[in-house]
Amino acid sequence: MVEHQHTTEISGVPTDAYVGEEPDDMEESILESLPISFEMVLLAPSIITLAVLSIIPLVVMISLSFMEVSFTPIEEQIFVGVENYVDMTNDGNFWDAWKATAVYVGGSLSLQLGLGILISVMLHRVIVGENVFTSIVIMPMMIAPVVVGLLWQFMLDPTFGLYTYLMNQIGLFIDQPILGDPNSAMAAVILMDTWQWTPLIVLIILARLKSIPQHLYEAAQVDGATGFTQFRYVTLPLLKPAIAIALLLRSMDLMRYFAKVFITTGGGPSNTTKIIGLYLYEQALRFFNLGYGSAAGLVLLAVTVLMGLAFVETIMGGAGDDE
Amino acid sequence: MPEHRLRRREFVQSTGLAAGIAATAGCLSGGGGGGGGGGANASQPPGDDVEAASSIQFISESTPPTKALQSITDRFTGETGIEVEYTLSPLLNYTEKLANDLSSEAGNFDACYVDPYNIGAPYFTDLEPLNAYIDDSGYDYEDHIEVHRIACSEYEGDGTIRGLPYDCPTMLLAYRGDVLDEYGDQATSDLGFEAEPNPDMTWSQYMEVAKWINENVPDDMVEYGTGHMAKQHQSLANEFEMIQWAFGGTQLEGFDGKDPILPDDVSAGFTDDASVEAAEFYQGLVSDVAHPGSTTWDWTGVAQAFANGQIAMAPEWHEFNGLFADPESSEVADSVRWTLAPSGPAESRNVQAHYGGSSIGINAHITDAKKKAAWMFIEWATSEAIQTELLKQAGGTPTRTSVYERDEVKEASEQSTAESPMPNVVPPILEGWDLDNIGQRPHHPDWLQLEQVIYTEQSKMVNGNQSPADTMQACEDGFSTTL
Repeated sequence: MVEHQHTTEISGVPTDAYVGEEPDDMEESILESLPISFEMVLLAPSIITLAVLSIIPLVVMISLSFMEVSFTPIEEQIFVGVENYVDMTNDGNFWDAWKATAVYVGGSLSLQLGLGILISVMLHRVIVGENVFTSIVIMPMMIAPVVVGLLWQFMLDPTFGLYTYLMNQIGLFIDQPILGDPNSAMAAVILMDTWQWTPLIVLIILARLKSIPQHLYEAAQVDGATGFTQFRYVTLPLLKPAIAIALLLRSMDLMRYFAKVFITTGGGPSNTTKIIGLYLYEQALRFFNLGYGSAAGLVLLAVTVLMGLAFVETIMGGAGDDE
Repeated sequence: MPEHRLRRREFVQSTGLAAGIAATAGCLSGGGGGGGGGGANASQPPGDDVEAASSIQFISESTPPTKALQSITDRFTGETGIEVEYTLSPLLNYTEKLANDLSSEAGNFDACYVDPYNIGAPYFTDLEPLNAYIDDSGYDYEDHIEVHRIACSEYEGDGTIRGLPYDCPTMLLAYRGDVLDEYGDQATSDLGFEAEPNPDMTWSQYMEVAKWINENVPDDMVEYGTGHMAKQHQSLANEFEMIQWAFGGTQLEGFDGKDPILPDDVSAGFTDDASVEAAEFYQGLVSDVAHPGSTTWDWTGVAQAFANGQIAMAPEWHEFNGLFADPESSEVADSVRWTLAPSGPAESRNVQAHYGGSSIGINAHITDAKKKAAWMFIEWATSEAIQTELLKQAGGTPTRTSVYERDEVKEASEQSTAESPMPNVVPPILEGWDLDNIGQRPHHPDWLQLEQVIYTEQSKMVNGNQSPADTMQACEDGFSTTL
C-alpha cells in the first residue's frame, strides 16, 4: 500500500492529511465499537419511546391486577395476590361474556372474510369504473362506530325502523323487536360490524389480488384449469398471507371494540350481547373495579395474542418470522 | 466489525426490558395512586381575604336544565366577572370524567352536577361540605323541599351538606287523555273500576286497563295500552324498583325505598314474597301486555313511542313532558295527562313515584379562590330566580318551595300540557315528592354495580329466559357478591 502523507504547517497549525486509501491500522470509530449497528442507534429513540409508552401502562396494569382498588369512599389499594384471577374463574358473568365474544368474533370474522373475498374478487374483475365501485364499497368503513350503532338502532327500531318494516313485510319479526330478542340481537350486531368492516378485508384482499402475476393464470389455463379451479389452486393459496393479515387486524378489533354493542343493546337482552370488551369497560370504568378489570384485561390481551399467533401460524405457516 | 452484535430481536427485547425496569421503578417510587382522605367534614369557606377565581369549570350530565343554565350564564358572568366553562356529557361519560377527577384529586372541575347515586354516594368525601358556606352567606337552604335535602344533598346522616338541590326528574305515569276520554266510560263499565289512571289505581288495575286497550281500542288510535323501559339498561332497574317498593319488597334488608341512608351492615333482599310477587307481576306486564318494543326501550325509547302515539300509558320521568308538549316532535301534545304511578298491595308503605333528582356541589380538591367562585356560581344557579327561569325554558324542575308559591307557576301547573308555558310543572310532582308517595334508591357507594345486577337479571326475566323466582334469587346472589 502506498501511503501519501503530507504534513504541512498552515498559519502555525499542523495539518495531517491522508491521500489515497485509509491505513489498515486506523482505530475503529466510536460507532463501530458499539455492540449495535448504526441503524439501530438511529432507531433507538423511537423504539425506547414506544416501549416506555406501551410498557408503563402494561406494568401498571399487571400491578393493579394483584390489587383490590377501591375509590369509594375510603380510597386504598390492597394487595390481594391472585384473588382477582381466582374470582374471575368463579364469575359466571365473565364466562358468559367470553361465550358471547366467541359467537360475536367467530360470526363476524366468518361473514366478513367470506364476503370480503367474494367482493374483492368481483371488484378485481370490474374493468370500467373500478375506482368508483371500490369507493362505494369502502364508505361504511369511514363512519365512526358510534354513529354506525346509532344508525342501525334507528333502522331497527321496532316502531319506525326501516329494516324492521321491511322484515315485517315478509312476515319476519312481527311483534318481536330485533334488538330485543336474544337470538336476533346478536345476529344484528354481527351484521352491523360486517356492514362496516367487510370493506377493510376487501381492500386488503384486493391489493393482494392485484399483485398476483397474470402468467400464473395463463399457465393454469394451459393446464386446463377452469375459473373455479384457478381460484382454488392459484388465487386462494396466494391470498393466504393477505387473509392472515385481515384476520389478524379484524380479530384484534373485534376483541377490543364495543361501541356498537354499547349503543344498540347495552349488552342485552339477557346479557346475550355483552362481549368481553363491554364487560371490561363496565368493571374498570363504570364500577371502577380497577384491580379486577386489569386482571380481566390481561386475560383479554393474552387471548388476543394467542389468537393472532394462531392465525399467523395456521394460515401463513409461520411466514413473516424474521429469524 | 465487532464480533458481538445484537440482532434486531435482541435489541428490541433489551430496550423493552430497560423501559420496563424504568416503569417499574417509577411505579414503586411514585407510590402509585391512592389519594387523600377527601374533604374534611367541617370545611370553612374561603375568607374575605381570598379573591374569587376569574373562571371555573363546571361539569354536568347533558340535561335540559343544564343546557338552559348554560344559555343564561352570561348573566352570572356579567354580575360577578367569573367565567364558567361547561363540560356536558351523557350520563355515563359525565360519571367517568367526574369520578376520575374526584378520585385522583386532580381538581380539573370546580363545580359539578352531583347525581346522588353515580357520584354523591360513592364520592361524597371528595365534595366540599357546604354547611359553613350556607351559614356565612345566609343561603336559604330550608326553602328546598324536604325530599331533595334528604335525597341528594346529604349522605352521611349527620347533617353534612354536600350539594345544593338543583333539579328533579320524577317518575310518574303519563297517559293519553284522548284515548281515555273516548273509551274510558266503556272500559270503566267493562272492568268495574275507574279506568282513567288516577292516584287510587293499583298496578293490577293498571294491567287490566292496558289489556283492555289492547283488545278494544282501534290501532289507528293507539296500538298498545302500555309501554315500558325494559331494555337491559338502568331504566329497567328504575322502573322495577318502583314496582318492587310498591309491592312491599326490598333490594336490601331493612331498606324500604324511603330513607336513603343505610345502616352499616346491609344484606341483600329480593327473595321475600313481596319481591317475588312484584317480579311475577312485572314479567306479565312487560311480556304479555306491553308493546313488544318495550324490551328495546330505555326511558328515551318509551318517551319517543309515547310521543309518536304508539302507547296509551307509560311510567315515565316527568321531564319528558317538554318533549310531549312540543307539537313538532309529539303527536300527543294536546292529549297527554299525568298522574301518580299506580299503588301496590303493600300495606305498610306507599310508593307511587320514583325520585331522580340531583344537586350541584363543589370539588373539595381545588384552591380557595376556585372554591369561592364555585360557591358563588352554585348559589346563583340554585337561587329562586334562576330556578324559575330554568323552569320557564322547559329545562328544569325547581326544588324550592318558594318557586311553586309564585302565582305564574301555580297557574301554569293547573293548565294542560299543550297550554302551559311551563310543562315541567303540569305533572303532579309536588304530590309525587310527598314523603308518603316517593320512593328513592339508597345511598350506597356500589349502587351502580348493584343496580346493574337488577337490570341484567330482569332483562333475562322479561325476555322469558328466567322465572321471576329465579330472577329474584339471582339478584340476591349478585347483591351478596358485590356487598
